[in-house]
Amino acid sequence: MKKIGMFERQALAYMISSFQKYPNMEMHIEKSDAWVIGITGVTGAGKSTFIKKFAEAFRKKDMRVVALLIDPSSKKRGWAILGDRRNLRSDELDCDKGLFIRSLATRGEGLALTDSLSKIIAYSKLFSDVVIVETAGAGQTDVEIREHVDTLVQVIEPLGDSLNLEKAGQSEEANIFVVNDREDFRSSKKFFASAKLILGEQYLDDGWQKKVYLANAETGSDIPEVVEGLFEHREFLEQKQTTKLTT
Amino acid sequence: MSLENGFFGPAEVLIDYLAKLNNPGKYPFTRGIFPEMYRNKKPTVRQFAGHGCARHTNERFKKIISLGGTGLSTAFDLPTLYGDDSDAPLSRHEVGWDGVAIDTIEDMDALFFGIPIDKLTVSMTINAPAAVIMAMYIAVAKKRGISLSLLGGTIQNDIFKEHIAQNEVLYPLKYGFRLATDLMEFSARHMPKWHPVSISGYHIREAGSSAVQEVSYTHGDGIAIVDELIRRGLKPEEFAPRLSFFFDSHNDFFEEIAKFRAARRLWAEIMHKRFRVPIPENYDLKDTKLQSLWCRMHAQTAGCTLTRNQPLTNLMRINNQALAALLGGVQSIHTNSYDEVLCVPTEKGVRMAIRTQQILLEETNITNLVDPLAGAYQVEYQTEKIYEEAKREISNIESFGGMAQAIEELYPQKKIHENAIAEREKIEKTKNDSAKKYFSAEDENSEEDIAEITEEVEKRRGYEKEQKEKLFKFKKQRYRANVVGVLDKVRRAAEKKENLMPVLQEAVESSATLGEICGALRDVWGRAKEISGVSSAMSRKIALNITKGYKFPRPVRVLLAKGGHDGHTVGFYILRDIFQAMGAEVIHLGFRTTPEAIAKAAVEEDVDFVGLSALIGYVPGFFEDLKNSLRSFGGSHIEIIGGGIMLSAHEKYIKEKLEIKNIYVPGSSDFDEIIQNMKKRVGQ
Repeated sequence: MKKIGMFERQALAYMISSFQKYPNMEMHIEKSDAWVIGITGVTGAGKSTFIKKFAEAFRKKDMRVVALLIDPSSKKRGWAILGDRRNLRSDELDCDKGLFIRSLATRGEGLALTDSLSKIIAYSKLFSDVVIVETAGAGQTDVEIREHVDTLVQVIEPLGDSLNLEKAGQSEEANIFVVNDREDFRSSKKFFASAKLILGEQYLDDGWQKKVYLANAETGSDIPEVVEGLFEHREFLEQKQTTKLTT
Repeated sequence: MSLENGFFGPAEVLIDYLAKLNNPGKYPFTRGIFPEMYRNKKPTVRQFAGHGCARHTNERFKKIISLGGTGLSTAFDLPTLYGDDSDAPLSRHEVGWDGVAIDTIEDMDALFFGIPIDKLTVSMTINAPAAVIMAMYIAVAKKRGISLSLLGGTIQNDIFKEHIAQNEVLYPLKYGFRLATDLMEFSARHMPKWHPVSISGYHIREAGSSAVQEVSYTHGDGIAIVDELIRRGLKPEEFAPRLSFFFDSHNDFFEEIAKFRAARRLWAEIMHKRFRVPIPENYDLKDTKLQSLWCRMHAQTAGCTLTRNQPLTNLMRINNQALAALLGGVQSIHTNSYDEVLCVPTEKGVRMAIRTQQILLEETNITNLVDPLAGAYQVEYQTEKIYEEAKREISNIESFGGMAQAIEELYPQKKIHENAIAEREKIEKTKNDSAKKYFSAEDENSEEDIAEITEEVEKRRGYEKEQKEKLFKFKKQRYRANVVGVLDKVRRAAEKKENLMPVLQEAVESSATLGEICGALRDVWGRAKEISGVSSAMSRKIALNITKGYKFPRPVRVLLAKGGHDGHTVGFYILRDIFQAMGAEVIHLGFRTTPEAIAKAAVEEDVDFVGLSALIGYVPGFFEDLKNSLRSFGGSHIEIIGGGIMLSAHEKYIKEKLEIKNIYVPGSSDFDEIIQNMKKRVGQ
């Protein structure tokens, strides 16, 4: 199994802190073709629980994973409770050296994480095969996340009228949608059906047809299908890359 | 007190005697569930015992019996309480420490070897895996040819209070509750002498709740249990006589007495008005309908009130608290040991605890009186107050749709946390008060006082090896295919709705271990979801007072974790609010973490501090492991802040040998010190 070594782990941890502390820090970071996946969705939608499932799937394929979990800081006093890491725990993952997890606080508008995020991601790519970025659910970072990732996943809670999906700004950008099929939402099947009709018919500018899945983050049901969808999108990107190169 | 004079008189306290008090033994039982109370039967002296492997506890049990004990009370070690085997990674430093280690049916058999379990009552303090432990007990009885109907005793089996306060949970609440009710239902149908649940407020109070919250949430749990058993087709009189309650006896003397009285009245009214149990005309004590109205109570003195520096002074606290329980009319009492803030009680500690009760029962003449404080304006005022407030809080719970839903919304957890941090603020405020200094002062000869304790504690370190060897041998000798087959059967039964007791019994008889069975259930039900935290606007405000507005000059990062299985969170959550108040970024890793997992996370998160709390077990071991793990992940520069219950010798070892300066010990050090040390490290 591939690992992120002790010195690599230390270096990555330290550099993330530095990028965040000194947003203007200049540094040459080599290019890497590691895959970057972004996960957005409102608070409580189940993002980090899905990330756990994705991380497990990637680790099974022996891909090294860096997960960056972003949460908002309190505007008033600067504190942040970074609790998402808890959702990525299991006996296997807890000590898995092929997995690196980092929780990041947005630290307010002035020190916007957005300035350093691209560097943090670029640096993380050096040590991994896939970087997963989770955003706080609202605010600046969320809108800009599209620029930093290859594949964007949006987790939706089956709440409210599915027609509203068309209005939501973010859904314009995502490649893959996952409706969290939680037990306490009785209408999730119905919601999924219409989400599929509305979103699943749409194409992004690059020709990708949006994919919509219904999956349960807790039980993990239908997760393999979502993971397969992620890989399909990567292949799509790779193919486009090669056609671009040959033409 | 709302009155100018500071006392109550007949004008403020109107006693409607028949409706609110009535005679002892008469509805609503405010004055006691029996007409003659202790004149007829003195409260049971039920002391909790358990340590090491089954054979060690068996020896202690036999000693208790030889001293004239008619009941046994079993304490299990932390791995057992969490349904883990002694060889699980998280069990390190905990095996046999604060109770007996039980992994297999063979252990259970050895625990009661040579003890007539058909003749004396056995109490077992265990919750999440209670059904599996009970299955082992039943299997042992069966092996000895003892009929189930002869087994008498109690198993705690209260999963609600675990989710609310103590966090010894294995599965999501609804599945944990199903397992608990399977046991209750089975017991109601087949074991007429067994108490299959002890609805507990003790742990809620110890987690920092108020007296009113203690009563409200306990009765709220009770209502949910009764509801479910009725839904399963039982009539109240078929199970309610076997429900028992377990309360804390805290420091506020008259408030506690009032609490016991109010709790009895409130429960009787719940059973009568809500569950339609009639008030009997002739009070026949054998009538199960009458018994269904009773709030039978066991009380334990409050462990959280004890001091560590002068352990002997705890004897007086324990006496006061036991006296309150006695005047409140409880059915049985457990007096704590004066040395339990230092470690798990030693033999001397237990002996003194029993003596305390014996002195109260034999020398004060109190047991010849029935509810002697009735009619006292103060006591009746407070009883009425607690009754009214608890009733209101129960209706708050109802507004969520019941206790299970309220717990899922974290309502009781948050209320308890708010109360706990407010209490902490009071302590911080008054600790420099010269009149209060005595509490934390250190006795000059305290080292001598605890010399014996230190010696006994050292002995406990050998248990882990012995138990693991025993388990290894057991696993090697059994027929593996049988185990695999029966575990699969457990999984399939868990998927369906059938009562799990028979299949659990089959599993233990086929030599499946506790850890394997609990694991099989986990495969189907998943793990309990950890709550994200209990901070509220109010608790954060109090934290700001405690930190006096100090804010770190830069975003300091802190990782908070707990070592081993332990799930006590009072200090953990208070610390979290305090860090938050100082503007830190707090990474909450959650509970049940191995040192390796903590170290890996600390390095990846590039934190300044790791906070580790280790309450039970060989505490220096947890810190040593963490220190070593941090080193192997390249995180030696990260500072450890620790907390836990430990001997001063161990504290010294951690501070001097492991060079961990910031150690917080309940009952002696305070948060101020830690805050000062951090300021020093981070800069003003």
